Amino acid sequence: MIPERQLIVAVAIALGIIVFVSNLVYHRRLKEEYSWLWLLISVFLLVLAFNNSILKWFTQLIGATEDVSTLFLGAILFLFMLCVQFSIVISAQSTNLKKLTQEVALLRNELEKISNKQRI
Amino acid sequence: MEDVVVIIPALNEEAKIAQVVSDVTRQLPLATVVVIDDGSTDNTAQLARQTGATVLSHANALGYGTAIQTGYKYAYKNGYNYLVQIDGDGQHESTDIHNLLNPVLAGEADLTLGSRFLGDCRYQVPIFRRIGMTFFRMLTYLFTRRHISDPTTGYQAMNRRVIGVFVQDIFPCDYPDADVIVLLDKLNFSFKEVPVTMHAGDPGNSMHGNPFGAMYYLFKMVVSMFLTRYRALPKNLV
Repeated sequence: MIPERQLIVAVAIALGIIVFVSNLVYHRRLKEEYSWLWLLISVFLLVLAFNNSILKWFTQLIGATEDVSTLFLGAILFLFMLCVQFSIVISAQSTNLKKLTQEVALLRNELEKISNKQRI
Repeated sequence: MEDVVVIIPALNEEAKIAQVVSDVTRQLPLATVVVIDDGSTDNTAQLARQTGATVLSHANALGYGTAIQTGYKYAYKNGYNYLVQIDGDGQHESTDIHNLLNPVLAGEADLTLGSRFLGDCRYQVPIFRRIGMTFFRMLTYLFTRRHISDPTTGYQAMNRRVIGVFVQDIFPCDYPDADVIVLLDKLNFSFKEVPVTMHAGDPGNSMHGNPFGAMYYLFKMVVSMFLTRYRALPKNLV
């Protein structure tokens, strides 16, 4: 077990993130598909808080000397994954925006044709 | 010539667009001339419409590649069999349209590329751009084993089979240049170069105007050519 104070802080942060993200999803300010990574990391933080032997095992595995280094590495990897997820989403949105803009231009042309015919 | 459409992508070209549309109409009086207004903030759309062109307006500027793809989609949707694309800044000489279009109409090629280096290049291509073009010429040869003198030309003519490919997501809308040639070669389309006359374009509208833009273009094109050559094709194209 980790010291009691550290346990309380870790659990509070993890639960805080879960409540905050769930609240955003509940009020439709965050879509479910973008919430899973945040919730996953919060659950992972909870697991680490109650069982830090996983953290110690992983620290040994990657050859780090301090547990805190492993936590920093985890945080950086998490932010990296988040950025990649955002890039994927932005790419998809760009494609959708392009298709929509093209479709609007073509439909506007159709509309002009119809209204011109009606005028004649 | 009723089944020919000429597409002209344009962004803030009010100074040139009416002249370009008139010149094209004079060359191909029976063809449909379509100006794709890529979110211009000036009178490009109104002037093009007044000159007799069909105008497709993008609500916001999405770039040259997306603009020409809108033109391809219009052509495909409306059943045109042949398409010519020409820039809206007056860089391309409209009198070359027949030279571009005739091999496609005769079935000698699926697509023709207007080459300023086989024809009359009436301006001094900047040295860095010239180096870039030589680099892409070499890369195009590496990927296709074909000598293309002007792989970055935007002056082209094509038949409906090619249009049918260009309307799909596989078309590289970011910067459709040499990677398009690699794609067509991979799909076994026939293409040939035709000598054309080119004038200096408007440097203010060039996407390669700043060094970062040029560097990004170089990077993107190399990646795109490589991926186009080696990436598996979508099932509907195989």
